[in-house]
Amino acid sequence: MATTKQASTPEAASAGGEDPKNNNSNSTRLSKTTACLPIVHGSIAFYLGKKADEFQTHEWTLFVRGPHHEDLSPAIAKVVFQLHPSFAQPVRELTQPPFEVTERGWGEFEAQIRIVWTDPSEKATVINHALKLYPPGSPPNVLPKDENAPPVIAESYDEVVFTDPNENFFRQLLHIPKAPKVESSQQEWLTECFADETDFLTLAGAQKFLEEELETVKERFQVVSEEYEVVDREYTAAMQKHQQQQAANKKSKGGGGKRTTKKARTS
Amino acid sequence: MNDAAFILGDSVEQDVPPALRGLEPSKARRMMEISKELQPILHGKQDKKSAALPPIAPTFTQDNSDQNGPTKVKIGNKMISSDKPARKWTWTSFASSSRPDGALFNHWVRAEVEYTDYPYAKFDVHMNQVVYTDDEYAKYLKSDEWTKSETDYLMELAGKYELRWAVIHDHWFDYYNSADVDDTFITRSVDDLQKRYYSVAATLSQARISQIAAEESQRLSAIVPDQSAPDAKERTEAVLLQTAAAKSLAAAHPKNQPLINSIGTGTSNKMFDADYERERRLHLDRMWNRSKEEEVEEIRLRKELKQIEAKLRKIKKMGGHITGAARSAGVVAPSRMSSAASSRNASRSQSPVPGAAVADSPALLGQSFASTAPMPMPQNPYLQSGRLIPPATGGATGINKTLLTKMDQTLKELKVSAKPVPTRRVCDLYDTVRKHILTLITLKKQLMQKEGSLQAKRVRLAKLRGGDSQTPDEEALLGIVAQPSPAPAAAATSKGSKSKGGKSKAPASKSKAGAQSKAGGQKGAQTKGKPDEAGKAETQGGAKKGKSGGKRKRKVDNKAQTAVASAVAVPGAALAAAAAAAAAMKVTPTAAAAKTAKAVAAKTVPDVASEAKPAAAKKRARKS
Repeated sequence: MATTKQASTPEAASAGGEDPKNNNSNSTRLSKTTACLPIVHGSIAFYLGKKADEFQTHEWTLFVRGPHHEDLSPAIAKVVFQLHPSFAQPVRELTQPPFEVTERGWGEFEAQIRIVWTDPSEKATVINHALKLYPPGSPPNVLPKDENAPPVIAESYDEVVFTDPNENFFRQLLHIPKAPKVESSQQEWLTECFADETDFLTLAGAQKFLEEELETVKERFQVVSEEYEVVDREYTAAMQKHQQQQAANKKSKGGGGKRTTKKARTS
Repeated sequence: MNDAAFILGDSVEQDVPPALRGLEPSKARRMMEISKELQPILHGKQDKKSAALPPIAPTFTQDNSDQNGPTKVKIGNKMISSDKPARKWTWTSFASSSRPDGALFNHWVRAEVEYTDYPYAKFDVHMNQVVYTDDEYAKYLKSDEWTKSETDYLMELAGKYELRWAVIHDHWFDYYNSADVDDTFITRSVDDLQKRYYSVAATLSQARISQIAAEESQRLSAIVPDQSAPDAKERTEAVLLQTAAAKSLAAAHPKNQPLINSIGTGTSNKMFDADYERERRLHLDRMWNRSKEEEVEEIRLRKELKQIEAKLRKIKKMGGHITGAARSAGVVAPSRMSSAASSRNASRSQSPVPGAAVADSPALLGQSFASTAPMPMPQNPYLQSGRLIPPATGGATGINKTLLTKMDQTLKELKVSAKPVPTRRVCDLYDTVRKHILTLITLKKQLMQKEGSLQAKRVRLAKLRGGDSQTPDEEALLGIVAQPSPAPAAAATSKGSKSKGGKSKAPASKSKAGAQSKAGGQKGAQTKGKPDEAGKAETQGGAKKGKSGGKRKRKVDNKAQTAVASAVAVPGAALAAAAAAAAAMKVTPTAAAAKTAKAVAAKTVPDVASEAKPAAAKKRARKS
């Protein structure tokens, strides 16, 4: 099982981090293992330029692929794309790679992608993908100048996590990086690699910094708590003394009064 | 006068009363049959005395007729003029279209107006009965528990009694008591009847809609010309028709239907929930039947619940559930174990965290994240990106919204992207980082609160002591002490570098804290030794802390500024005065000026004060 630095290969790891892969469960299900299958889902849209008309301004492709164009068919039985109901045959099923739907239209909508796995015991995964025809940030419905405008690509990297998968399915998953790649119809445009290095490093740095911060704040907290303790004790002591003094004052006043009267009488 | 004449009888020669003398004899005779009181009024010839009395009903009085034009009297919204005749009303019979039997009744009606129908008949609204053909029944409405005759009877009853279920339920039994049918069909509760009725109506309406849509789409597709049509226009038309057909089919699909309330039959296509209805009835019955004591009890319980929830919310706000974990997990050194434990106990009694919450707290932070993150379950694969969503803010395990926004801010400051690439290790780290941030924020908040309460305690202590001994020193009251002797080394370095504000401020506050712990009162010389040591230790710690980031600086800033850092020194410490002058540098000049003035007034060692003042002034001048 190859693990490279890039987040591109399916990884198998134990869920708790401590227990090793356990093959001796009664069913063929592996226990205490999780498998992550990386997947990219997205859309790419071309403006039709002169060939555009009112109902078909763009030609777009909606797809599911491996991040490095791997062949995902060992794991995926079929992919069902649910398009907007205004399309004829809005439900498109693809059983063979490349898992792509190409259509012509004019509007952006949210398509539902349902991935059915080769293992029937695994529930199908549903992903919603918003089709983008216009580049982000530009006002909607502003058509590009000509046919040669660059296509609008909207891809998302994601990983599907399988918990305690079946042994066979697991083996299929492991085969994926080794199998030959699959060409997509839009191969030339879909080049992104989806590395997670930057995020990883930023997060690691942040974590370290935060841990240091936490330490200092905790120390400070201890100090302040201690001081508080001390002051509290002093306060209670002072309070007691104060009360005693007051009691004593009262007594002395009373006694002094008596004494003075006595003195007055004797003198 | 006329009455008296009348009473006296006809012996007095009064054939025609004076008011009627001007009229014809026949008319006059007729008039006399009418009551005598009315006569003068009828023709406007009322004598002044009776006219002066206020009218019982709005009348035209003789006085007013002298004015220009006819008299007008206001009745309701209108003005009625005296020269127009009165409206005519007749007593006639009428029939209402809303009555099935056509019975005739009588009422007063305006004479000239045409009444087509009894005007209130339009309010008699009836419901439409739900009807279906036998075909439709066979196709859509068959049910195991209901026979067709029962269903028909139910529809009839529902229409007749207009969905008054209590009545319908009552009449339901008549059918079965009269005919000899199976006993099993008799026991139907109101909910069953309702459920059947509404489901029949909904299924029927949906079926009819789908049928219409199917017919329409067929019709549209049938219009489509051949594929071989050469004309582009025709081809586009074909496509359009196909799309229209598809659209109508799609629109008729049950999923896409809006909620249609058919007022005529009192049904809708989506709503009836039999279980809910049953629950509702049961609940109503219970409420009706409960006794006074039960009601009182319930109110009391609800009040208690509200109080408990309020307490829980306060705890969540204070962040007790998060920091309990930090505190219990983050004990620094073993030597401090006992003091930490004792301080925790003391603080526990003070803070609003009850014992139970602290015990559960390490799990609570994890819980609030787990509530929104996907749960790993066999046979249920989940998406890693699900772990990136922010934790929930509502509910029992939710996090305070402000905490969440602060967390987002901190993430931005740390340059963590809002949507990191969801790999396992990145997600794990992201979770850890978020949890750390939350813990940090809440810990800091608690720390501030703790320090605040500490100072308050010191003030009280000083007041208590100050009452017994010398006049209180204001800055000592607030527990602020200038840096003791070793500190000037650090202070000197900090003097030069204003930019390293954080570093210098940190030592200042730490040493203050150190001095505070011992020199709370006016203990004088004996305490001087201790502050120095404490100050040293604190400055070192403070220097370390000074290195840590911006947030720390900000918190310390607040402390330094709220603290009354005047230019006055600890009594008897001249060196400390010089250091105090350094401390004054960190405060805004205005604040320092105010405090200096006050402190000087209260000070027992005026020479130190005078020494400090010019020093402070010099520093201020340097600063500005």
